[in-house]
Amino acid sequence: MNQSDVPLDIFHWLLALSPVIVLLVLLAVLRWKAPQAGPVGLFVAAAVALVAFRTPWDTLAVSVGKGVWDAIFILFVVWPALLLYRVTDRAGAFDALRRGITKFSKNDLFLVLAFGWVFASFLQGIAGFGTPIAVVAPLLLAIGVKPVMAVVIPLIGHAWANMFGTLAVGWLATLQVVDIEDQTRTAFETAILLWIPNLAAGLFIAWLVGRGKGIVHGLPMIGAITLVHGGVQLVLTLWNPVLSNFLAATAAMVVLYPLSRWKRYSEEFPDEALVMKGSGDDGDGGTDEVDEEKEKQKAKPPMGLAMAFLPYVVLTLTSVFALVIPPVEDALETVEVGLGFPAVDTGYDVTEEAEDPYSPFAPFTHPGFFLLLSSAVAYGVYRSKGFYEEWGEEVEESGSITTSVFSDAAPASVAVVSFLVLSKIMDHSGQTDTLALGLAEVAPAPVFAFFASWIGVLGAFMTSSNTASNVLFAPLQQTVAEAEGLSEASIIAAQSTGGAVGNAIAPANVVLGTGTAGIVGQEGQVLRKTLPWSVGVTVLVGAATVLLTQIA
Amino acid sequence: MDNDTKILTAALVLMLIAFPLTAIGSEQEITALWVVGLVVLAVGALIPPITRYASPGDDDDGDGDG
Repeated sequence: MNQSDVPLDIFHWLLALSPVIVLLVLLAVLRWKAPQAGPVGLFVAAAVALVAFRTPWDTLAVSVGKGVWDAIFILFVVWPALLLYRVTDRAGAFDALRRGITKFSKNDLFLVLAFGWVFASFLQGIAGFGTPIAVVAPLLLAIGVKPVMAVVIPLIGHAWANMFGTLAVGWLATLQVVDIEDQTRTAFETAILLWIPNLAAGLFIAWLVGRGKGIVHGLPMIGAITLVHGGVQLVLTLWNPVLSNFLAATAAMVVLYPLSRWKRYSEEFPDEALVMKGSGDDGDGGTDEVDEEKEKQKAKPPMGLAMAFLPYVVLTLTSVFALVIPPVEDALETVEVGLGFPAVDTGYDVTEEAEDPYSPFAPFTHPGFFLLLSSAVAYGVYRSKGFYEEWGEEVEESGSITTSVFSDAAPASVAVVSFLVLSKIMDHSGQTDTLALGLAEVAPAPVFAFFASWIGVLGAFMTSSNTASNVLFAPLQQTVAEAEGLSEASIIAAQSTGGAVGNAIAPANVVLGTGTAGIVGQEGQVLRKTLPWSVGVTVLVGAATVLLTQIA
Repeated sequence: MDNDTKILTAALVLMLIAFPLTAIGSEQEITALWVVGLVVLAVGALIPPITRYASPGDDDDGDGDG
């Protein structure tokens, strides 16, 4: 992309910012639902592109097409994840999970941290593309967490794992777009900065559960897990960044077992867990939900814990088998689909190369495929054992599995498509460049070092992807770092960490969570929790980046 | 399936149809095709905000479907 001629005055900068502001105001202030707010943001971005950024109609058409295609990658997680949820829920598996896990540990704080932080990070390590949110939100609901919190917690818990997660797809993509002089040092500094959102996630989730008492009670667990997550990843980046997150997240899963045997975490949390349904804190479940919950608590689930975990075991095993063994992955990746797009430009010489095919889609290595596979196995086994009939007699459910999936997935999908098209329009019209370059132009070196991670957050907010954020902004960050005499490694590390943190507030991720938790329309409430966390963490990351650049 | 779901599914289908239309239209330089793609996307994207004001039960307090 040619970034040299985009306008860098305050007028254009504010105009470029307007789609993001409109989106935030509609979602967080006016409390519009995401499928309604997303299209409005899309139209604002298109209007700004056409009127103020000299974007021809054909460039707009190409950006729209690419945006829809990018959204399909996410929709292939949304729909299968919702299907898996409904397939298991209708068989009584979620109630079995809740009962079974409660026998394993009665400690709400331990359970919330184990699912929302440790398991979510593990899923990000192997699958990504929003899978941790789509899978963990229903699991948290199953153990009795309030719907909004069930979305907030995995959003925050998985964020740190985005950069080196999914077998380091973000890192590999970064290496494709920038020529990094010292890759080991860059990966190492990235791991240092990523430790901040990791620790902050553990502490914040514990605070959500029990405020100060939650943090004190959870401290040994948080300390042990963050040491494994952050420490193992840090050391492994020196050897193999591709496996660093996967191995760190897997090791943390192993550490859960001895922790659960410790009396401190096997017995009940001594205070009120504020994230659980029925607690005294702000409620987010309706009367119908509470009634439904009471009905389910009386009913006896038709299966045990092991059978309830079956789909998740299948999901983990198939993902690991297909993505960690190179010959299997290579074979599955031979099937790719996609369409080409021609080269386009704007009146400000923002150019996009022709791509044929554009971002080809390999369905058999996509997490959506493994979710579908798990759903099919679960449905077959549960059906053959008669669990649907048994659970149907205990609990009254309205509509079929298909109807339920459509009613959850359709609104979430409209929002996801809108956000991704908005993002692509901003990118192809040069609005994204104006935002980032404008910030870089007015900021002296230390100030830019501080704000480098904010640019990463912006990219992830717009694209819901650490990888896409780095592809968008890593070249710019490298150029500015060189011009300002800053350490390239530290600035790329800041960009990458910002890209990870931004996933906690990315609208498409939020909608993915609200969709799977059945609370589409409450995105504003989710953002009101994840936004302050993201801002706080990014301030810390910014300060740490300034330190790193001073040491360098 | 309730009406809201049907409407949003229709909006989603329209938005998704924009992909092949804009891709093939722009790649093969068939202007009419990518223009239709843009129009289809715009119509699909207009539906959800319009339904906000069209359906009386759809208030602004953020209470969700679940």
